[in-house]
Amino acid sequence: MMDERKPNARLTGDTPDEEDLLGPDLRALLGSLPRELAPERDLMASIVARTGDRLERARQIDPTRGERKWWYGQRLKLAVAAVALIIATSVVTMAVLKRDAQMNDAGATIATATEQSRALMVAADYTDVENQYASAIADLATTLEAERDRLPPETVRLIEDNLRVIDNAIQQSLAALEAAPQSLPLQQAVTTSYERKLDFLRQAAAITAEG
Amino acid sequence: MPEERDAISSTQKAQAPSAEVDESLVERAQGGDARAFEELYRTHVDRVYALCLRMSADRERAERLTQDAFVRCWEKLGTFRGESRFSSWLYRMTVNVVLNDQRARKRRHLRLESTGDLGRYGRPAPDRRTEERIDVERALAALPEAARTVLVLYGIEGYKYREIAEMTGLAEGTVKAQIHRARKLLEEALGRDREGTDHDG
Repeated sequence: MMDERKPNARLTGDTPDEEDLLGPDLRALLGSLPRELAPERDLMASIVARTGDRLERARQIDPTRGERKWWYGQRLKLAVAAVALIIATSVVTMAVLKRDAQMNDAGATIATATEQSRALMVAADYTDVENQYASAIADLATTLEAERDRLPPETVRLIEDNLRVIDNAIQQSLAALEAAPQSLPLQQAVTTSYERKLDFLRQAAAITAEG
Repeated sequence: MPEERDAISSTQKAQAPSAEVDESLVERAQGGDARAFEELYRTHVDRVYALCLRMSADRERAERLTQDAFVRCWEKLGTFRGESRFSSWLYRMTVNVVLNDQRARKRRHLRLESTGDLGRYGRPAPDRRTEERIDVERALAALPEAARTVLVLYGIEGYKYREIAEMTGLAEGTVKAQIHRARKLLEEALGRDREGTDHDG
């Protein structure tokens, strides 16, 4: 059965199916209040971030064409890009590990050390993290911008949408971390956000360059 | 019930395009189309946020609760069978999210926060009508949480005693008593405001 109840029906006084506990004056007063109030910021990015990658992955599916987005047919190239990303990330990680080793003479395993290095990177000063990624991100963004005119508008829009989401996630992670600088999950969230942006830019640039 | 149908019709006519659009968007979103879900968000976020803000009387918490409601909506969208309007389903889910949050906060013995920030109700305009609305919003926000909750659900959102009792887990008599109490407190607060305005003016 359809729920045909008009949420604000009683405010008009036209469905007096219950005793009115408010009286006409107060009812009119409450009825004059706007039903909608806009939040001061767009919450969609946070919602996407909180649903994990599920929503964002779904955003990359183009239902109007009944097929995958532009990147889906480029899986092989993406795989190559992913390998390149892993190698690049490993280089960064190893550099950090080397620094940690010099400072602490730590003998932890690679996996543990990677996690520690990530946390230390942010805990020490998360602007360092930003700086480490800034150069690579700027290069890739420049490459993409140069190719922008050659790309289909839909692709440009997709890239911009994704970057906006990722940038919002970065800003929110940084803001949260400022409030709780010792929080390991937040530290990891910042690092992951930057890696996510770098990852996405690399993939987009690789495909653009070859396409 | 023809009378009720007639009484509802004018608003429903106004809502009809939105309901049709919702139906299409919901179908697409259930199929995994996140852009359709984003459209649903854009269509309903202001209403959901208003509900969260009035029930919580706190802007930051209202933003978080709005996010909670949409995250839950995304997670539960597959269970929506179209037996009610999507908007009714979403708003009901939002009420539950806020009520659950209130219960959790009570369990943690957290104090209610200050309700003096008028900025959260939008940009005040200088006209008298807007000032009146702000007075009402401020008086509402200053009510005790339980009284505010039932008054928002009953007086603004239009839920019935029975529905409010179901949602809050209170007896219908308790809901009515809370509404009486909220009404009394609200009228007192508004009376004080008006007296203050009269003295000022």
